[in-house]
Amino acid sequence: MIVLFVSILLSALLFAVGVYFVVHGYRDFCSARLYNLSIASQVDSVGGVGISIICVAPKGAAAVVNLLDVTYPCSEVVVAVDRKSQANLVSQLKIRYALSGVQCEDVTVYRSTRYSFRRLVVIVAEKQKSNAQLVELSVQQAIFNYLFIVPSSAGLFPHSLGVVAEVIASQTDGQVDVISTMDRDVNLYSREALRRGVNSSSNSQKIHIAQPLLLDNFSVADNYLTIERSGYNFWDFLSLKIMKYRNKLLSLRKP
Amino acid sequence: MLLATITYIVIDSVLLFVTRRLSVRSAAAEQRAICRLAAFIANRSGDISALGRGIARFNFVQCVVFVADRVDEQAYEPLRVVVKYYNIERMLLDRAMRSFTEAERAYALALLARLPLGEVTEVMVERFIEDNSPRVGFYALLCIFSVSPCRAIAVLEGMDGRLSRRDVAEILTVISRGSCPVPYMPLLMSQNYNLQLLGIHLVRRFGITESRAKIASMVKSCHSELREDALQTLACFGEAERFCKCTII
Repeated sequence: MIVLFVSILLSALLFAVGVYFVVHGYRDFCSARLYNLSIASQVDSVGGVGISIICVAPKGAAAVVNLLDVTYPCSEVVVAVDRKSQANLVSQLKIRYALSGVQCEDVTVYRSTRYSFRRLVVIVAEKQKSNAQLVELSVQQAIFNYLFIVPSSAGLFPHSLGVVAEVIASQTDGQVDVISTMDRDVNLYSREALRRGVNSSSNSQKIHIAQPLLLDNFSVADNYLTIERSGYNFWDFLSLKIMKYRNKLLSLRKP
Repeated sequence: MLLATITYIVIDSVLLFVTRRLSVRSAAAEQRAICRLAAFIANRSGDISALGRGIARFNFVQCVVFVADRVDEQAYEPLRVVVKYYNIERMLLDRAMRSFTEAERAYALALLARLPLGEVTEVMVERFIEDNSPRVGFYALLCIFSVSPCRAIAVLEGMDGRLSRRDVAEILTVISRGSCPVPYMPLLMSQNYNLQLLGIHLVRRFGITESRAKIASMVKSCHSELREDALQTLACFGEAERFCKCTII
């Protein structure tokens, strides 16, 4: 009897979880579908929203290539590396993007001499610096109002920034301070919110984007381009969401 | 608890496998449809009945919209032929009228706004302007913009609610496709918030530097929420330095 009761309870629980997932997922999918249909963010900046992508100590040149592939025009990529630990990466980037640098104390700021790579900024710390210090240097060099700190092991979908810009520009009541995403511990911040201290202010305006923006493994980006070939497909959305939840669950189990 | 977790992981792995197979199959069919459409538009010849083969009807409509978003005016004639042959306008209007949820209505109208439409559709879409959902009303307005922008501006003036900057960007993307010019001065001189917002972004998008003097006078006289937009437009024209002492900064 107890076994029967437990199995019924378990089934009911799983069913409830499944229904919640599907209903919630469908609602998120409908909202994501409208944002992804729009091509306004591929043509011009939306509502004057500019976004700086900050990546500290990327895993390789492929990560930088992926970040530069974003289609939103009003964006830049700020990469911060430490010369001692990533000397190979620095020399690869210098050759690939024809970088030219200006040294200031123990930091060299490189920009590309080619117009097509004008959105790239590479900050090279000549002395050992922690990730937090590199992030701070990147924030100082970034020029746009919104800052997206991307984990070093992740990449972005080409349309990710466009979706973020459209979500920000669709708010009619004031500036947005924090944008949380479906990806764990990955947020966008406005420069004003960072200056005020995000957590200290209870008046910070926060919004949530319920669709995946990060590629967990950027070397397999081609598999995910199916989302962009034509309308936003429910199966793609659902499979990405399942993968994100599964990764979250597995990462919670790790110490 | 352990059993529940394992069961959950097994179930979602199976779901993942199934959904990925379905998405890959669907994406492959859509890619073939897009290639056939592109070839038809480029050559202006070919078997029109073969374009929609091997793909679900609604997915084919999404492929047509995908192509319509990425071609210029010269490709509109063959696109119109495809839209008429497959009766896509009627299909999307029916879908919008019969949908229970506002999300489906809005999506059907959003797809419709991106196609080359006829005047009959413009009339039929008007019923959605007064819809309870602001999103549905906006996409109905976008459909009217794609047929006759001047009439759409008159409709916009009578609408409640404020446009967001994202809405304005979508309107400008639709206007950019057409050859019908939109007069900018009546928009800038209007007292309506939505028309002023549209006018400021319109002159910025199209680089209409003749409006410089009017935008400069609007920095202080327009709605307070629009002052930053007006200043950014002046910055695009290279005039912001003269206003660096403006009190809004």
